[in-house]
Amino acid sequence: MVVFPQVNETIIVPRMDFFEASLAAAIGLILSGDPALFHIVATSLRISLMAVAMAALPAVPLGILIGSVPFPGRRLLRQVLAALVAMPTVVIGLLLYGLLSRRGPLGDWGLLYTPAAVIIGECVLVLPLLLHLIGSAVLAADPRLLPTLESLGAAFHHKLWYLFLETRTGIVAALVTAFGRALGEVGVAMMLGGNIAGFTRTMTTAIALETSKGAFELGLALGLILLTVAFLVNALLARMQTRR
Amino acid sequence: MSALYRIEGLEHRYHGRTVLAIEHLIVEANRLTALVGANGSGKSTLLRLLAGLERPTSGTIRFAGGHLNRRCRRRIGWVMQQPYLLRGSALDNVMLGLKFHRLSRRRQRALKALEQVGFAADPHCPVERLSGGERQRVALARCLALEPEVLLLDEPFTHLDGASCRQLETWLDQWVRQGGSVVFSDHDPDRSLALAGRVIALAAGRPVDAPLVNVFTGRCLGQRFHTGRIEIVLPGPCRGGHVAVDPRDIVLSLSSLPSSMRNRFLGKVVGLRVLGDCVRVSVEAGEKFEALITRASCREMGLTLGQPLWVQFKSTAVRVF
Repeated sequence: MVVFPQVNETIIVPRMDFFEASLAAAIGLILSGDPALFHIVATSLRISLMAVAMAALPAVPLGILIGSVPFPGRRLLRQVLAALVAMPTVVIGLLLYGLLSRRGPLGDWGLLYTPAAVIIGECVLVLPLLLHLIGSAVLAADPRLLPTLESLGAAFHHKLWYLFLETRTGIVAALVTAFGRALGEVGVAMMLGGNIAGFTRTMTTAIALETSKGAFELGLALGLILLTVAFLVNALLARMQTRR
Repeated sequence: MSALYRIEGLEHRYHGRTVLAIEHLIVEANRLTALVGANGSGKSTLLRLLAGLERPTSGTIRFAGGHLNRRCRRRIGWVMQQPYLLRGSALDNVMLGLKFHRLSRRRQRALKALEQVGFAADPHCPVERLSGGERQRVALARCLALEPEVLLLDEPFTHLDGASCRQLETWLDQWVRQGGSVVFSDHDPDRSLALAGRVIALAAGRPVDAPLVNVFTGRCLGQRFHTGRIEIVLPGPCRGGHVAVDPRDIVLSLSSLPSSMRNRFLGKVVGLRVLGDCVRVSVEAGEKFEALITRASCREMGLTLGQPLWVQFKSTAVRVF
């Protein structure tokens, strides 16, 4: 006769054991300073920072222009940017995959499955977000600022510079938000990076794939680090906003 | 006096709505010119246009005989009602325009400008710690550092206390005596009349030939204007829903004077206020009239509150609009 085990004994208790054991192993992994783990963390941070820095170069001046210079279609542009902020990361990954793959128009560059491809993808991902947030920050600046600068004889570049200085809190907040977005996304990194160990493996791709392979401890350890970084980034953002 | 600004056929619109329409207006140099009018009458818009910060929708504004353009910016100082000070110190703010114009000896010029406006606080003090009056002074010094020919001040007295108002009045008077020109807007017509050499009154974006004091609403019936409480004799049959009488055209007397003045009302004194060398006398005579007389006249007449007083003015002193 087949005796079925009682649910309480056979399923719930081992699951709890599994999670506790995995959590303990994950913390142990972090505390031991596992080189593979920290290489993944470093790769993630490097790629996200590079992507935000690359996007910031055009986004900061363009965002200031969008927020300060009225032009026909500005409202529509801001609506489009707001819509692009919500674009799924996997779609951006898919489009860039088509461009960068061997058969794509930029296939000769050989960028697919390299950190450069992930950087480009995340740069494309955060660019509309930066433009939208910086434009909004400048648009929300004191309306007396520009006439004051103009009345004192400010040239175009003076106006840009002082708009940047006066709205820098909002601009830095936009950069921090973009960094958080780049760090936490998985679609672009997976499709363009390919999760190659020691090369393009980032925290999010490692969590997704290592967990599916059964290496739950590693995934959990990375998840804890990602959570900590996200928490720190948000704390920094909150601090900036209260200062503003 | 030479013309500082010459406005011809000016019309300015926001979103299709005309906010300012001035057929012809000259603002003279080396004098204090006041713009008076209710909120939304176009005072601030006119000041922005005179500052060259906006271009009129149509018409021309000439400044000192030439075109008003970006190159005139240094010659025109503009201070808004609640001036915006950039982050940093008072000194940083005053040096800003000097930086934009790449002028030398910025620090010395800025310190001199701060001294000119009587800024007593530490020039290195962050602007967030300055009082409203000090902020106003910094904004004024920021313009003065560029040594402008004209100062355009938008409601400069609004956020100042009594003592600061008097200091600013004295300072403006001195600045004009030293050869400068000032155009300021003010919602207090009495102060404008007492302080300015010329008062330009604006109503709904149009200059009106009246100082906007003693403005009464009613209707014209032949040669008389009925306010509902009194009848004012007009110089002739007119059309319009408002009349105004310049406080300087009102003659106050303790008894009715045999004269050519056709408007005579007996009332009583309800207010006395000293404005520089003048005294503003408020008289309730059916309608409330404001008259400006010298301090000496006030003393000689021995005016006190509640005293019966005759308010008299010629029909030609009445402006209908």
